[in-house]
Amino acid sequence: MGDPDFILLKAASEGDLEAFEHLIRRYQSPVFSFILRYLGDRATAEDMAQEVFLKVYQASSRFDPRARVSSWIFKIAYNLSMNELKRRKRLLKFAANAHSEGVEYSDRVFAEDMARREREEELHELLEQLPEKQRAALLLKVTEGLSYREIGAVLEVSVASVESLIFRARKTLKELFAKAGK
Amino acid sequence: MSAYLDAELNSQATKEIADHLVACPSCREQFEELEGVDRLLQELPVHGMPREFAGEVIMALGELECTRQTGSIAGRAWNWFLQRALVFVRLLQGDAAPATGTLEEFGDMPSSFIGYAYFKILG
Repeated sequence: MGDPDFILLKAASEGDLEAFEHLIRRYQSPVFSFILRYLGDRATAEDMAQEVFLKVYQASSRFDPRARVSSWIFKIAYNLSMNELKRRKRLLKFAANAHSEGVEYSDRVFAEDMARREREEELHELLEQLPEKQRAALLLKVTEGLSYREIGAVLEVSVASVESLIFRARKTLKELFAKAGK
Repeated sequence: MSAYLDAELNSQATKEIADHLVACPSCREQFEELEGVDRLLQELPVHGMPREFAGEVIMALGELECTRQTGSIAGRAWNWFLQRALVFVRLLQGDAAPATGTLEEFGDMPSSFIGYAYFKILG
């Protein structure tokens, strides 16, 4: 049986907006969650999630059917997130307050439980200390459930590299958690 | 050990590691620490997207397509109308989720916008 996501994507590439809407609904939450956890900023994640699906639609006719649609969509999400990180780093060179985005994030978070919100912020701050590819690999595995092979397709690295990235990410986080008293 | 945690090993390697973890307290402790890292990450809340999100993407797509297309103004106008008519018809048919917003929440929507008429009918 073919990949049901591919059937939807193919239909979308032929102008079937209803099929495209089904595809969006299937992936909107995982894509948004990944971007949010990767960047730690809800407002940016919302805008970026929309941009991901616009790019999915625009590139749908160029999709290689040998790949998995899920990996391809996450790859677009990862690439856009990486571009955003690079953009922020360039801005931070000129910004007076390097922590301003963190403060804005805490103001926008909708969680009612203050303790849970603080915990979430702490986790985000620790995740931000990981190198970008380690962070992406770990999130894609642990929170999004992708296989090593799928993660390799997203990050354009070998399966062995994915294993190494995830192992190092866990090891580093373990040490950071220990320092933070978790 | 990380690959074992991720169930990415073949059956033989999986069994060997599982047997070793039973026999080696030090390795078992390290494994449990790795599991602890994953548990903390999995505690990160899942933030869902509103149901209107898919419709918003389709709308944004329609606007992109309109600005990108070459061809007659009439052709672009017709395509613009079709995009919005599709969403409006689906909303009336009830295929989409019930509207979650009120007219006031969409106050920034121009009164000529077709969705404005829909919410006005609901209101």
